Amino acid sequence: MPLDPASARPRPDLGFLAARSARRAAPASAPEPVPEPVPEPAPVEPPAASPVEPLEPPAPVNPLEPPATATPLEPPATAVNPLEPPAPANPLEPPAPPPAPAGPTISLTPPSPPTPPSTGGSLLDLFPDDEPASPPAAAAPAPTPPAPAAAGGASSTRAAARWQRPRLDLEGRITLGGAVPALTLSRVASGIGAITIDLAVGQTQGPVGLAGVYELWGDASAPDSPDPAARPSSSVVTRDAREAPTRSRRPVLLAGRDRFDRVAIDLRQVRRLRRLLLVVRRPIGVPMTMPWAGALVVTTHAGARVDVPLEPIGAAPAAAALAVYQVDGELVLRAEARPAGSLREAAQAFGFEAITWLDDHTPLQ
Amino acid sequence: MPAPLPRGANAALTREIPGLKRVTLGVQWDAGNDDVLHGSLVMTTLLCDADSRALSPEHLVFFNQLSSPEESVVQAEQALGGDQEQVIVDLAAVPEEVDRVLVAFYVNDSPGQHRTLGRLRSLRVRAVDADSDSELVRSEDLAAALDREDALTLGELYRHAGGWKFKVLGLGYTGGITALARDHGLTL
Repeated sequence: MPLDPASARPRPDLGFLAARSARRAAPASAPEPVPEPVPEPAPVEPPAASPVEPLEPPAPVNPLEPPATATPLEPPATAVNPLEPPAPANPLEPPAPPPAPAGPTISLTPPSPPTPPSTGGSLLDLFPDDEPASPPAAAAPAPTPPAPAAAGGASSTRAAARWQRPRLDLEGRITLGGAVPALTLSRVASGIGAITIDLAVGQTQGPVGLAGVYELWGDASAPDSPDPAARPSSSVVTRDAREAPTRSRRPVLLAGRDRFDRVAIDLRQVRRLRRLLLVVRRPIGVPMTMPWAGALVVTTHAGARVDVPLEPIGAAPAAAALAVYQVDGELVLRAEARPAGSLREAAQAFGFEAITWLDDHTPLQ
Repeated sequence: MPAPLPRGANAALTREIPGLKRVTLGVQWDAGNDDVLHGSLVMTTLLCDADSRALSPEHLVFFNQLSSPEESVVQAEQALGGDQEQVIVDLAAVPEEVDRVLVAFYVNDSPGQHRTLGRLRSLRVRAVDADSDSELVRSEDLAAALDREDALTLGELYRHAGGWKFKVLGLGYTGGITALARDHGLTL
């Protein structure tokens, strides 16, 4: 039966569809900038099911193209090469001390009224535009509280359809949680340099650790590559298993430790990231009565900062603190604060079913 | 094939080809066997005013933002003709306030890896008539003078006397795309 979008039943519950369609419209004369899906090589591990899957981008470059015919090197006609001093922005610098209340420097587009929190699980709801994460009661204060939702059925429906996540551009600082449980980084902020995520905690918290549970798409620029690192994959990065894909020479994710445990995302390869779940965890055998304190600190290349307080977690051996989704080149951050008994339990609660585990704390790499 | 243009030289594109409507700006490079460098290289295009300041972050076109807001500059999904990356400029659609379309090139500052453009074996920018696929301008090899730079302005299309000219630049930066963008009014 032929499908006609014009006569299709409206889906106000899927507001992101309208937003994406509107943004991607292009004139017939111009090349379509939307990446088209390309066939994936056979995945090593099947990714978890998801109702809406981001498009796999085509190769933006052709690395196998031979270079231009070599010509003799000539000295420049004009000596134009002034060296600039190193840029101050360094994504590998240690972050500022943990979370301060969101200041007045927030650079957000005004958020529209959020829809009521859904009671559904998150396993099949990876990219909701209109469902804020269920925030804990003690979440940090929101810097820009949204306007109250419009009353009335029709108005509420229209408001829900128009609702969009707050956006963070190149500068600013925000605390994620409470009335602002999720935000979208701009395309520039999602595509230049690297993003670092630090587990910023005080010494009283003890030797806590940060793990990044991930799913990667295959490398669209090398679809026929025999390199296992070019295939889709799902596993965990920690300070002891640093690269994703495992043993990659050019990792999409790199874990390590500077002042705090850190996971960094190489934004040149942002289109390979499908999703990343940041899990905080205490060492095995440590009493679990101590409540979590501190924050995950997300820092962009330009210095914009997103703080995700850990206090809403309460006391737990582990917890999913932050989820990062790549949607059509834009990174969506969502505060989670979901306690779990172990790293494995936290990962499986978010549908990371393709990971093989040695025990509750150790994935098989 | 036209003779390579050295840094600082320009060509009057629309004076030579009065019917020129769309220009493809392409970059060709050879990173040798350094696949980390190869995978970290990015071509970007900034739509700038007469003071060489980008109009906004949305006027920076690169792999993760494939067109300017009005779509006068669009990054090609698949580069052709020997280029690794290309943008297509629709000259008539370029907004009046845009005086220069700057083509730049940088090494993404990836975690745990640092490369510079000095490792490149060759680097050229060229301008092509997008409708006839005929090459209009090709720069000299810009890699020969590179050392510690990790960002570089390659060339610019700019308005001149009611038409468009193309100039080879080759201005290097050691502060990456951040420093280059700052020089053009953007904080990245």
